[in-house]
Amino acid sequence: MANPYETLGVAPNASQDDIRKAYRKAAKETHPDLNPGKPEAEERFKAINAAYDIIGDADKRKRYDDGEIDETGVERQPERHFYREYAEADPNTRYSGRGASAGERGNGSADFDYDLFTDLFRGRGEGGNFRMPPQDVRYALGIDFLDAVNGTQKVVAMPDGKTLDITIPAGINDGQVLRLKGQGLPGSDGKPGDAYVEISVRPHSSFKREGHDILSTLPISLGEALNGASVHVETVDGAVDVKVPKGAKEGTKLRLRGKGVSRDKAGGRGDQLVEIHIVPPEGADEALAQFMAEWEKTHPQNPRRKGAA
Amino acid sequence: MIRETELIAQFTYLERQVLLTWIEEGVIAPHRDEEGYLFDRVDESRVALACDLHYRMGLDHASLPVILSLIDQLHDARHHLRALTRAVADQPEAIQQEITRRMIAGRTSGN
Repeated sequence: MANPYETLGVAPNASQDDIRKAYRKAAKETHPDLNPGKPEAEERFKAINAAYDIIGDADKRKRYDDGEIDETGVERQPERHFYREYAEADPNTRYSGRGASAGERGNGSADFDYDLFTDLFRGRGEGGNFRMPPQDVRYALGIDFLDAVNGTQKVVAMPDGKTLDITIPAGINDGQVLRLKGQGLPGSDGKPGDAYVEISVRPHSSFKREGHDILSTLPISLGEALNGASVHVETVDGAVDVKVPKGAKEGTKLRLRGKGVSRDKAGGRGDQLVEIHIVPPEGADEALAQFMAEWEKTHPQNPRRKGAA
Repeated sequence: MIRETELIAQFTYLERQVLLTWIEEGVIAPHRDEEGYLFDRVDESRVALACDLHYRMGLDHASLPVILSLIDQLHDARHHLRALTRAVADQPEAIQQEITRRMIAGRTSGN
């Protein structure tokens, strides 16, 4: 074994501090776990460690300087398995980062030789780095109906752990794809690909969408239908008062102008169409039944007959 | 697999409290049973690395998890690279050459 001062590249009269610095620098460059692509690093690292075991410790250093121990006179380093031996052979350990899929596990061959890669991808060219094109990433995002109509901001965690701020424009349609330029994965030159976010809009319990119009149903009582009324109607941006005309019929559609979905280019908004649904009185009321029987005598009506009004 | 005491005996400078901190932070993730922690060979090698980084190379407690996470990502990346390299090496010579050619072309076109 070589002189420990030479191994660490320090002068025999170097301070302990200098020796420590020299060790750290050398260890950084040769620690097998910090240099998994350098098979030759291990021998060098062991030598550096052995040297530091002697002269990194002030007492031992003095004994070495005094000739009491030689460079082999310290405890043998036990057989050591470096983390890289396990980590790379099986990336699906509990220490592994994201990204490795289970399908790649257990291919049996742990004989990867970095030189193979070098031969393939560097050796034939002029030397240089392996090149990966930028990658586009695709992402599916489900949003609520009202968020789709009114627009919103979403923060989404990407598969690579990044987060993405996504502005959902008002009026986005189910199935529409947003392109986020430069939010994909970078290639080897650092230029990123794009992110594509496909929107799926969850249905709403009372609204439906047809083009730029919103459809909804408005249940009213028989009395409200006969006499007209002013009722609250939910729209995509809050409740409004709506006048139900006197004598309103089942299925009549009231148009609430500008309460629909925004038209991106044309500007303005579609309408909300409120379909009237007359709900008969609950339960059997004797007085009403009698009145109707009397009334129908003078107002015969057969709604099953064609053309009946 | 070995117990905590055996592990600590193996690493002359490793302090128990530091080991427990690493476990708490997830830097080391040993198995455990009713009697306590169990460390397998992967854990041992990882403790050795953490000891090197902390006790010999002077990394502080805050940096250690960051560095180990980067090392893990590096290993993942190398694993994928290995799979890719093998896949390319299994291709006919003409395809290998084409891939190499495109890589060189991409590199020199400057984008």
